[in-house]
Amino acid sequence: MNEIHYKIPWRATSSFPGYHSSQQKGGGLQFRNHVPLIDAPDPRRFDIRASLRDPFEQIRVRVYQQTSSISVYVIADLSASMSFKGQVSKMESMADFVESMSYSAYRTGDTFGFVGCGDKTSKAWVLPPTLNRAAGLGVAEELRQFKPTGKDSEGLLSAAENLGSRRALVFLLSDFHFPLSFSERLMAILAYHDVIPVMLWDKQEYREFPNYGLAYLSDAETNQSRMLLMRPSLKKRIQTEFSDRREKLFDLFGQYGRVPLLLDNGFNSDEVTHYFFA
Amino acid sequence: MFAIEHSWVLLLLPLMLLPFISSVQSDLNYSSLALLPTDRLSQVFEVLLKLLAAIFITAIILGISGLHRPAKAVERIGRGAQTVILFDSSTSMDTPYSGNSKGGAASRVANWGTYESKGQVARNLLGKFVEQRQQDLFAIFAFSRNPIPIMPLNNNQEVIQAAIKAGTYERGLGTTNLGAGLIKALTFFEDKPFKGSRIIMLVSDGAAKLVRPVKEEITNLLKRHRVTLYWLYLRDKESLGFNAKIDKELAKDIAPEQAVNQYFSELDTPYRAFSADDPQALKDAIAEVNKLQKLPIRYEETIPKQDLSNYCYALALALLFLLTVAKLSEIRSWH
Repeated sequence: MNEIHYKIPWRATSSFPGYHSSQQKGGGLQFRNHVPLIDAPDPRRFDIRASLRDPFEQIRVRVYQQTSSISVYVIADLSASMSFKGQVSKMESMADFVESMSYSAYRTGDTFGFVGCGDKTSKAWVLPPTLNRAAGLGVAEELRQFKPTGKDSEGLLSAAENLGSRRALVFLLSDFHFPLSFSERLMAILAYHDVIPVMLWDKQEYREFPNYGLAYLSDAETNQSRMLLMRPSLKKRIQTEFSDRREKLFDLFGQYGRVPLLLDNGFNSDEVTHYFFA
Repeated sequence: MFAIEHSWVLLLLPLMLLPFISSVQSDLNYSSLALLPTDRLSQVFEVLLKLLAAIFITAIILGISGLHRPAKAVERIGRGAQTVILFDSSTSMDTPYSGNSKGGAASRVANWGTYESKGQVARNLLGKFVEQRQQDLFAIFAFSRNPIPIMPLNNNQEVIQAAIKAGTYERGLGTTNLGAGLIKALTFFEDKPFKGSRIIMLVSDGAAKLVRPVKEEITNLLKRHRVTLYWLYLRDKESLGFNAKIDKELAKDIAPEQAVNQYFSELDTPYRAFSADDPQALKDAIAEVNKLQKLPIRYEETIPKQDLSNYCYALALALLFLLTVAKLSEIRSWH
């Protein structure tokens, strides 16, 4: 199983010990400050030099920062547009991501949760955050069989209700093929959490078209269909259209603190790791 | 204008809406059409292809239903006459012709095929005559013992010429019953509207005798139907012809044509005889008809039924070709 290594640029609040730097004092390796023995009655942390230096001749004890665990969530867009299959099926990529992420969270000592959202009417698919190693794998297995049918992505707006009250690392998996204003609303709602938009695109969806031919396209969400008379000039127009959109999405997500992670070649755990350690 | 052979097939016509309702195209699943730029050319092409498919289906259905232009009677006005050619096809017409004595003249008993018979000469002349009278309507009767209707009134040169020629290859039948032939030809005008000058062109050697009741009936009919009678006379090698001056009683026996000519001349209705001896005779006859028969006539020409289903199928085939090209240029998958 390919593992993802991730880190967070903020301090976790959970008191539960884990891998990430935290606001909690406790048994960590990172020195925080000195306090009188009264405040931290742990004589093992007695610092002889600090005690001697203290003008008030108090016994000083070292206090360390505890590392804490966080919750890692995957919020998945289950609208019908995710049924697109180019080089790689988007649902397949999503399942791979969930599988790898849940395993990595388990390995890092974090809880893993999953929220899948279709349109407004359908009930969200929720896996509450858990340390169970198999839970995420089960979700991934089910995702592979899943046929997304959501007519839109409205359900994402209420996904935040299923996230815990502590700040969490949230991977928002979607193709983001909805209006920019919707993306903005969504990011605003999730702003409390550390949201990494993972753009599941496909090269064949926006770049690699055939040069000539008649393409009958049908939209899975709206059931509309359109014919495109493919030719190099139209191909170029579509490519510019999508690169414009990409720019705009990058700008928008940038405003909410995170550069999106564009996966347009299927899931690759190294690409995700690289995102954190670039 | 257009008509349909099997109208029930038209019940299938709503099928032409099929291309607009469903598509046989292999749809490519796409994530979001809204993101793709609008392309006017593609839109035009999409509608165009659907239209072509609809026309294709319509053409096939119309083809199956047997679209045609029905036979139509067109009334035309021509300047000419309604001419009934009454052709003597008795055996006497098979004898050699007097004016042209090649081959047959040498032998006492003429061998069929070695000479030009009166009938053949007459048919040649008639062919030329008809050729000159493009606007006339012609009907043809042959008579020997009994009259035989050969062709109704019509204006088609090809048909008339063929009908005239048809008699040249075979020999005549029986005796000459001129009276019955004339009466038959005259009764042909019975109950027909008077739409132009009526002519009976009698082609005969006149070797016939007419009895009184028959003469009276002919007289009456000629009057009633206002028919002009022309006689294209063919002289036998041995016969005397119209102009030989002989005793009337004797003429009854040896030159019956004189008696017949006499009878026709005494009629109240117009009559002219032309002798075919004279090379000038044909021209005279044509000139005469031209002069006398300038009345405009109305006649109906039938334009035959025109089958259009082949055109429908051709159109369908052409469209099928275009649609096949479109189908083949379809992108089946992104790969």
